[in-house]
Amino acid sequence: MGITGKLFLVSLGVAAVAAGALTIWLWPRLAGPGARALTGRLALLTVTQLCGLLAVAALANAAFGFYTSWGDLFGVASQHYQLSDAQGVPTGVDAAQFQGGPNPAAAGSPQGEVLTSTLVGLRSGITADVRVFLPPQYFAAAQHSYFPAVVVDAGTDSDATGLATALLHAPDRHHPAVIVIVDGMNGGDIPCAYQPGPTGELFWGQDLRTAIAARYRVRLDAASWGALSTGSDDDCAAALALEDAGRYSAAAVLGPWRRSGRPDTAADPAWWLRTNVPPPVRLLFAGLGQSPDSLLGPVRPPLQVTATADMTEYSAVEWLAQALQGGGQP
Amino acid sequence: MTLTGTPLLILLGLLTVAAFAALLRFWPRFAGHGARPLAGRIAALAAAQLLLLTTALAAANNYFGFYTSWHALVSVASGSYAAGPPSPFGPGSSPAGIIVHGSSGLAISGGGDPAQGGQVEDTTIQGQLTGLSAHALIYLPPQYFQPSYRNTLFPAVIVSSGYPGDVTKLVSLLRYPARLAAGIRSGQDKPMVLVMMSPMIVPGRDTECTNVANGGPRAEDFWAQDVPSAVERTYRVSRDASGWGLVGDSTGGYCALKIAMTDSDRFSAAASLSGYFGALQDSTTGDLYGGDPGFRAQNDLSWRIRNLPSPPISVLLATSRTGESDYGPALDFIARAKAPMRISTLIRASGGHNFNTWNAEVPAALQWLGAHLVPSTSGN
Repeated sequence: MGITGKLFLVSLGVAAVAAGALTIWLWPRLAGPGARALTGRLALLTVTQLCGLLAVAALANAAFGFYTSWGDLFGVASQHYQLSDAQGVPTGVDAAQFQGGPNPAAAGSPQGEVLTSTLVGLRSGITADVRVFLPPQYFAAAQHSYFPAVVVDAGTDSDATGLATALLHAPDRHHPAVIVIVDGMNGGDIPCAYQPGPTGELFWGQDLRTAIAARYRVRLDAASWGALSTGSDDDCAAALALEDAGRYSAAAVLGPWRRSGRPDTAADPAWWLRTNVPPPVRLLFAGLGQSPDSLLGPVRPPLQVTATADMTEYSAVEWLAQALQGGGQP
Repeated sequence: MTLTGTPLLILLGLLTVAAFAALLRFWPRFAGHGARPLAGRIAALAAAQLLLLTTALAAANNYFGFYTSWHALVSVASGSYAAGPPSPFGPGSSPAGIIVHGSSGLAISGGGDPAQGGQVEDTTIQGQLTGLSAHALIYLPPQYFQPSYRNTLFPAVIVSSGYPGDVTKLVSLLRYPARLAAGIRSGQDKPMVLVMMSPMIVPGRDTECTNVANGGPRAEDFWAQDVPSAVERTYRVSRDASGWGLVGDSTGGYCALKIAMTDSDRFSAAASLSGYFGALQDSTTGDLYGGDPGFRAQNDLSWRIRNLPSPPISVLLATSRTGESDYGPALDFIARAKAPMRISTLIRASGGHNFNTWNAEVPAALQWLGAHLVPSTSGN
């Protein structure tokens, strides 16, 4: 008779009800004085209570599936198991997300370097064209010094060409950083982190960062990572820093706000800040044309918001690089 | 009077015995004919039975550590959980995110000396991104205190109880620290730091380690980001995903696998002991997904393995061919997983959803984690 079997459960239930009914029926006969009547009461009551307790325990056990055999309950069942141990994940899978593109260690020039390659996201499945700008300091500095990284979500926006040109003409910046321009996938936009579905967050938060950190001297800490969006996606960077503050610690938004998201959802930064503790993040709004408060609501530390006149993407990259940490020796 | 502990048990036991005795003593009063004495008998019998059941429940709760506070019990019974945006931690909070309340050795030979038996630190972890906080017991292995390991970064494992469950039972009932200490001595286990927690980080609520929809508690972010960050700032543990793993039973197993899958940039291995794969929602969880089927699917591990690339993690699935409902879904998960994910299995012929099963599996899970976690090599 199985411990979770119908027969067992029904028998216990019937026994409990029968014992209760019997007790109530026999009650008057055992009401007299004397040891015999008292013994009768004691026996009847004990049996009734135990039956009730066992029935409830067995039903609960069957409902939740705690013990599925008698041996299991009494701890005498065989604890034998078969362990099939697979090997671990191969090392280097994060670096292998880059397909093609030269190895940065190979060359290196005093003018810095631009490396173009295709990134195939391990976790998101998103494929994107990526240009990585290494500052001259990357090659001049001690072999093992690390740099912060600024991610530029260029999307379908051609302005990024201007940024790329500026970076090439004036590579020797005061605050050196690895600049990563993400050019979208097959001419389309990559989903923002706040958009429904997991792939946007997996791409920006994990695939891109692990790929860069595995290939270049950039740490994975949020303090090393900032984001800048250009063109029609200018809200993506801000959302990334606010909602994924464990992975990005700064973001810059250029020009007026062109948010298309619905209010009172994750696409609305004011809603996000109302429903969460303020993140340890620095935001820059350049040329917003309104007070950041009207967009975000009251700003509480550790969130820091800076508002300036409109600036170029090159200047915004500079601002992000100085806002980030991540330099220095390992 | 606290929900767990001897005083309540003694009180309930005394009441049960008193009711039993009173029933024997005043038996004759309900012996008459008619409806009233009959109703009296039934009521008296039912009251005594109810007291006995309550005592048994309290004893089971005490032993297994399901609910540890009245607040949690009332919350889950009423289905209304603490809500509203969390507020930043005030004065007395820890900049690193961990407050250590005390520490103790293990009840093993040499347990009084941290360099021989390691040490369990009783802590509160304060999540700086989510504003959530949780009671955590952190086990530092003997090597952590030995001079030759002074510059070593140890692998770190988040150990989760099931729901309902209490973190102290991970030490006293499943004995993770004592088993790890024994395994290290016998050479089967590697020294690791264990961060032991319960999924019940909101009192009474089964958040299923989910970022609850519509501005609810961000339990996933707390587990996946706040906890590792705070532990990395406070202890000599791996700074890389390669040295971070998770293990848990039941809900804890689901959480372990889910967090490794959603945050594989921070974790590289997960052991799920009798963990399920579906995205639960019931009266103990409250509304987790805001009625959004897409968001619920993201929390369904069977859906994830079918519809998203398999993340770069090692997985240990422990289940039983008969007696556990997760066996079929586990086989399906294994069949659909693709590289670079690697799946190991621990399969028993039969077993139930109980501590006998997990007690038998914990040593194997610890060994497996030790073999699959590779910490970053040096500190900063």
